[in-house]
Amino acid sequence: MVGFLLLSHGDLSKGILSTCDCIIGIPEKTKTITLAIEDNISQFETQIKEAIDELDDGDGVLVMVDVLGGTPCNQCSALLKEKKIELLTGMNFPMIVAAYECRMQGNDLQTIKNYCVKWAKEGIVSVREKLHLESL
Amino acid sequence: MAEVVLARVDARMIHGAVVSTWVPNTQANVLFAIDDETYKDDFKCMIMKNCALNIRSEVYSVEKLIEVWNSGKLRNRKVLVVFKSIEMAYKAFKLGFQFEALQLGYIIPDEKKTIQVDDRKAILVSPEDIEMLKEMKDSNINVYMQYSPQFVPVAYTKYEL
Repeated sequence: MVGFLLLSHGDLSKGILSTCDCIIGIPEKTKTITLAIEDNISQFETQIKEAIDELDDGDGVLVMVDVLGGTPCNQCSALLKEKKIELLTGMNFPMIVAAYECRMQGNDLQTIKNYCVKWAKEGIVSVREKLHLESL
Repeated sequence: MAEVVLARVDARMIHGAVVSTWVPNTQANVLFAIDDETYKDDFKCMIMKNCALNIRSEVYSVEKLIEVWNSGKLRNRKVLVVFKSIEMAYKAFKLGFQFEALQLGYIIPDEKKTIQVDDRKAILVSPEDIEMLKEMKDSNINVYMQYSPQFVPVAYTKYEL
């Protein structure tokens, strides 16, 4: 089963799981790592490696990070050549839900990744525009 | 004449926080990340450059920085230089690269870098770093500490152990 790893500056990744808990439950085989200003970047890299190794049972790991170019993203990018992972930036709640649903249907890492990109983007909607309401 | 709008030490180099805060703050229009080791690794350079969406960026060794600087091709560019370490900044200084001020932003601590010089724990230096900073300060380079633009710059005042 594909594992999920959520990485963020501050508690975003933990917070997203707490939101999951309210709506779909906490997905299994999911880990979070958070980074605070005072944390040592080189320890963060080790933590990421260890979490990936723990989560990867051969099916790989989908890593979701807060933002392109941030430390979580950069540290994980360096592992793209050696680990069976896919790395997505712009982590949001629709992305996690998509990952959860797609994995439940028994899909592989590539399929889950593609599904997540689609639904993470589609989850961003201007409600006023969608309802065709004029702005006040 | 090209101008160094900011010379910063930041172990993360081309990084979201650097790009999204210091680039607009300094109005730089090119960003050079300087580290001899990273420069040798094409894959790492590619990852780094991928992070800078709003500015042209390059990863260079100190020697390459000086070569490009002296080539005259930069014309009147406003250059933001991010050194991976104090050692890289010092090497550039010794090879004649000129900057009026050096901002200490973020340093990865290790077994030698244990001396804390700021209150945010973002800057930890080694005894060798202190010597290098002292030499640069003695050459009238204004060394100061500032994690990001919303913090007030603090003068670096540690001169000896």
